[in-house]
Amino acid sequence: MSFFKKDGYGVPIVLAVGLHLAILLIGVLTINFNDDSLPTPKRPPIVHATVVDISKTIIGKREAEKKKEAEQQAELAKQKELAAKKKAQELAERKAFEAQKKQLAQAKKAQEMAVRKAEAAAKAKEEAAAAQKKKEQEIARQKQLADQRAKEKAAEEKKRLEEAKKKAQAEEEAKRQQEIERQKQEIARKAEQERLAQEAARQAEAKAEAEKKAAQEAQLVQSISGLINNRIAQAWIRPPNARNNMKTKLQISFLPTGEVQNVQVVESSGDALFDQRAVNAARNMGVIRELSKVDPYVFERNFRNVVIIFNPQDLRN
Amino acid sequence: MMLRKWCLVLLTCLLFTSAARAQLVIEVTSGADKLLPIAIVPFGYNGTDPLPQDVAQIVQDDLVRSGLFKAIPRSSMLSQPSKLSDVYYRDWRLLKADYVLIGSIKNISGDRYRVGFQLLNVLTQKPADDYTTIDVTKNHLRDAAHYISDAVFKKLTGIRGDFSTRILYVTEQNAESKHPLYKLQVADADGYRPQVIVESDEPILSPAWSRNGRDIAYVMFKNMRPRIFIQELATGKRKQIMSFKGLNGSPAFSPDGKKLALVLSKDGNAEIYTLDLATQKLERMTHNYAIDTEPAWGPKGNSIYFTSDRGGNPQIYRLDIKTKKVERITFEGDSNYRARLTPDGRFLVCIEKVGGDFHIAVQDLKTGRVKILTHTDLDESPTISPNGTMVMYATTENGKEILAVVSVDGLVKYKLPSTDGEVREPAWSPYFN
Repeated sequence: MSFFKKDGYGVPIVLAVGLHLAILLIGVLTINFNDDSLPTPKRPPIVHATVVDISKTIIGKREAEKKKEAEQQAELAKQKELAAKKKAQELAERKAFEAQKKQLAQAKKAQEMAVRKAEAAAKAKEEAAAAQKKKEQEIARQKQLADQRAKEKAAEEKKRLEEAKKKAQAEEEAKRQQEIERQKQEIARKAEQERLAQEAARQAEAKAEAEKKAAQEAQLVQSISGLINNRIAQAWIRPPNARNNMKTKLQISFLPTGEVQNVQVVESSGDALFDQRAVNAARNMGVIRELSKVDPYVFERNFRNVVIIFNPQDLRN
Repeated sequence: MMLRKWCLVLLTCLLFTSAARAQLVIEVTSGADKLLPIAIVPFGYNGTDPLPQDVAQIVQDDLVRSGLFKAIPRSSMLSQPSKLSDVYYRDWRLLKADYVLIGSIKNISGDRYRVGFQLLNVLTQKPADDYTTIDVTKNHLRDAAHYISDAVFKKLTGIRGDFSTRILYVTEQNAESKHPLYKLQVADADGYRPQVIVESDEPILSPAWSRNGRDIAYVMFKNMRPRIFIQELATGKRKQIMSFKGLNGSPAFSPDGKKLALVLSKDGNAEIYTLDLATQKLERMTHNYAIDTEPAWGPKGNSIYFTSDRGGNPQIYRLDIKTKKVERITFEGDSNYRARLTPDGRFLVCIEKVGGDFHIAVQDLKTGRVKILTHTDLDESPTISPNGTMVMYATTENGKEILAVVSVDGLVKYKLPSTDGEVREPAWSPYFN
């Protein structure tokens, strides 16, 4: 990430933060130390001691002291300048990158102020040196720590990245799965549609077939009816007393072989002889062989029982 | 697949229900009207003396002559049963017989015979009629046969048979000689068993039956003058009705038997008169300068059909007895003569002259349609059978006068067996019972 880029502000920030933290730590430690060993750092005696010191080295050491102090001050100023510079840099950096870090910098500034004050107040140079050393050590440690942290962070980042990657992969996978699922559904839907269409087609076909069958059956029934009509007309020997519009209704029962099984007068003409001749004609028409070739259902429906009306229209009388 | 099955089931159900609603109905409006095939099986006989008559054959001839039956030849019969229990219907079915007549003759005593017969329907495999027996003497076996013919004919055609009726006719022998012999004869309707009633060397004309069949009337010349006689057939008792100057002819009994229509020329020319047989009262029916002759009663007795040339040519006219109104009936052909009416009054049969030929014509009085029944040249004297189906007439064949029969529908024709001499003037009897 840009944080670790060589030409970015990453490293300086880390260093600056580390340094500040180290200083803060030293300060804290110092304070803590003072607190532990000298329970009176907050008391005026510290100021009092300083006053004593000044009175003691009034002349001899005043110059050196002054010089030293000046130097120290210069150093301090320099440091301050540096710090300010750093701070500005940091600030800029912070401002640029992280608002939180600004706060830290402020805290650090406050602490630095405290340290400076303490240092200004403290007389022990060693302490400073030690502090320096310690500070350096701390810096090193901090650096190490920072490194470690960076490392950790990097690892973490890496991990995060990996996780992200994994997540992305998982998401991708999920997406892919979803896509597959969707495709599957699509296929299923299409299949269903197709099935429905086929079903509809089949139904239509079945209907058409049924209609065709019905038409064929009607035709067959008609042709066999015509045949029966012819056969009966051929066999019908009408008595001399037959007159046009005399009417006898018979029910003929056929066997599937086409033989006449039974003949029954359903409606008499009123003339026994006319009826009898009609019955004779039905009996005498012979076997309708065509019926034996007819589909049993068609036979059952149409020819098991047939009504024949004898109604002469061609007589002279 | 399932759906498809159900669809089919549903469809089938629908078809079934529709089929159940509308049963197949076939209407037959025409028939072949072929001859009715009947097998008349030779009658069984238990006697030893040969029978003088083949009863079954007479029955068969009668039925075939009617023109409505076709007989199965004896030679093709697979069996000749005389009892119902011996009949195998399928045998007769095979021969395409619709009906079978079986019978048997039993000698019961001396010359008395019992003739039993039964008509069977092959198609329904059931008797068509009850078993019937009649007892006759040997000489009346032919009567028994005609009786059976009548019964079968009635059963199978619905028409009363006329096989037991008789005919009158006149024969002339030695026609070419100076001494011709005229005979009035009576015979069975089939021409068999002729009996001479009257013999004369002078012409005999116009025999006529009374409606009960007991009396006959005829014209016989005596001393060159025509006279009308009425004679009781059974006894031969005869009486001459009053004779008038000139023509006395064409006697015709009224349907109620009380009157005789006749032609007399006593008043100048031939006119129609009626004679009340009980009161001997004569009534003139026609008044016309033209010839009015050949009267024939309408079946109800309220009209007389006659021949008249009052229109120029001889034509048939009808006279209403009550109003005396005369109406012309025939218009076809050059002329029409000798009218006869069927018993139902529906048809008028007459001789129609077309060109030089004389044919038997029948006119439907309901529709006015005329049909020529015969195509021989010199047909004359039509007479109608009592059931109104047949017309007997005299015709000439090979120069010889004979009798022939044609059905009123013109489909059946046959000739009577020839006799000695010329045969003419037939008259068909009424039913005798």
